[in-house]
Amino acid sequence: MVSTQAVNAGQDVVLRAENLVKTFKKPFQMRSQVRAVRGLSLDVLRGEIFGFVGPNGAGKTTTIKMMMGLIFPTSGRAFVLGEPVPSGAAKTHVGFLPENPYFYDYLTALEFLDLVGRLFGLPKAIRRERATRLLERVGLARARDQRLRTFSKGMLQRLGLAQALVNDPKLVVLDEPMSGLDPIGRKEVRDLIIDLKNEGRTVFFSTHILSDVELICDRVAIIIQGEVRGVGALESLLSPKLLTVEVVSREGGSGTAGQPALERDAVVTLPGDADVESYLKERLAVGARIVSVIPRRESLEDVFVREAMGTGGDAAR
Amino acid sequence: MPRGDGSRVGVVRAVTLAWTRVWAIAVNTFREAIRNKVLYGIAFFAIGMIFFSVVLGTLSVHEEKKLITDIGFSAVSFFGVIMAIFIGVNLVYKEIDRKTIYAIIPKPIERYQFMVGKFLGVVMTLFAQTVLLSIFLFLFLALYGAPLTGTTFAAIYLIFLAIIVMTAVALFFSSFSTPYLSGFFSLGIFILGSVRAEAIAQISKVAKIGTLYDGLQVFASVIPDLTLFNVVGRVQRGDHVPFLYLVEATGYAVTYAAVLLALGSFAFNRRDFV
Ligand SMILES: Nc1ncnc2c1ncn2[C@@H]1O[C@H](COP(=O)(O)OP(=O)(O)O)[C@@H](O)[C@H]1O
Ligand SMILES: [Mg+2]
Repeated sequence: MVSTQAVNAGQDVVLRAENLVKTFKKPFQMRSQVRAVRGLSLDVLRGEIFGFVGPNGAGKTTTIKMMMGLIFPTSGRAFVLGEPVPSGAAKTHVGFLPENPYFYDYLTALEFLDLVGRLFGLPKAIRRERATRLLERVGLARARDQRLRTFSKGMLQRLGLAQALVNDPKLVVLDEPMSGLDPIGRKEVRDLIIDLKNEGRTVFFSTHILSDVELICDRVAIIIQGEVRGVGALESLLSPKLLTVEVVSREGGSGTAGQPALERDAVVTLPGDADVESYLKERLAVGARIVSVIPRRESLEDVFVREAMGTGGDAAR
Repeated sequence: MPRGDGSRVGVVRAVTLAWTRVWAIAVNTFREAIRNKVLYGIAFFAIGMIFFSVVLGTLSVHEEKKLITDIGFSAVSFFGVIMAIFIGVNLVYKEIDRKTIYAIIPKPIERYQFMVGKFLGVVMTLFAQTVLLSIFLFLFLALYGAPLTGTTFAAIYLIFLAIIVMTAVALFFSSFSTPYLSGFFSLGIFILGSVRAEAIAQISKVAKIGTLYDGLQVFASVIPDLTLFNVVGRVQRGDHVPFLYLVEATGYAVTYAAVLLALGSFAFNRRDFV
């Protein structure tokens, strides 16, 4: 786990939230306000894949919008590539995919990517080359001249990924990049994120689905009700409880003379806190062979829900 | 902005880049608008109305040329302004409502540049509409034997200036308000602006006393004087519109629009896109 000390020891922080707070006031209701983000701090380091995980309504999108200069923090600050938000210099090196992205109805995919390239001040040849290559990369090559009005949710998501990469960004920020995609699409996005890391980019992405971060993230931050409940490697944050241990043994071992051994498999499910070792010794002592010992743990999803329900505690602080 | 020395090359490059971004937004806005079939519907409705008015005009006994001219120019102006308000108030709202702005603002573009680009895009769209409507107007006028003179073109040019001013008004309100309220305010400004000179004259006659008068004066001076852009009378009389008048009117329109755009950008700059 990377602590604050390690950060200060010289690792590059590419994205930093410093005590971000966002309170939404509901119009026409004096008292009622929503505290969407409540003093959130985190550091994302150069070259890592950082998962921003939390249930729906936890404040992920609000935090990301503050980092991207779309909304202003009630208090606190955000830094992108070392520059306070919003900074033109930093924006040049950032790619951003909004949540449930939507783009201009009457433009084609190619035209939209060209527009994005213009905003980055890229020359025409590079704009064209990158647009074509990126549409290919996200699997939209055949839809390049299609009006965006006709795009499905999944296609918009893919185009959103493409437009986030037009400027060859150092930092890629993705808000729920897998949403709206089928299982194959999700896998493709996971692979894309890994590729981005291998190309030397830093990836920060949010999701409410744990299995999305399980396989690919170097570190995750867990956000619940506008607060970070923990930062670090996923396993270190959510230690899944051992529920049961399933032991399969082949009983009946050596047969008596003239008679072949009558073997059968015994399946025994032990509770999580049982003394598995002595059970195994006991079976071995009577001549059984152990076929398999399978621990059944809580799924990460279960743990997540458990954390979300409880106060959670300061897992990594 | 370029770092450090503030050299002329750096400044030129920064300005060029800023303009590239503004222009990208403008072209995109224009492209979106002219591909939107709804706008064609409104334009053809306007043409129909012009035609209808002209036909009505021919039914009157006297001075049909004069009436047709009046109705025709008024229709081009009216539909231009309505369209300016309609597109203007929805422009920013739609970008936020549909979330299209979420992908734009995080790119290296300043919010004011986005605003100016949107404005120019609408102006381009309305220019296309004004040209289209004018072509039909000129056809009708020619049909009824009204001569096409320099004044005819000057009148259309001035109408276009009024449209630019009203676009800026609509965009200004929409930078901090809802489309409905913005539309309401803009329409109010349009009506007040169209009668402004007369209104001031009336007020100065009736209420020559104290703070009420002063207050109204200040209020009136903030309202754009749209009567400046209406020279249909001269067209009817066959009068000349002096070149200097056009220059002055242009200066007035551009200044007014620029100030509103600056104020609108200021409001837009602190806005949360939620
Ligand atoms: N514009 C808004 N006005 C009021 N409340 C909001 C607004 N946007 C978000 N919220 C509230 O803030 C909380 C966090 O929302 P969000 O950041 O979208 O969560 P997440 O992205 O993690 O699902 C939610 O309770 C949501 O209802
Ligand atoms: Mg969200």
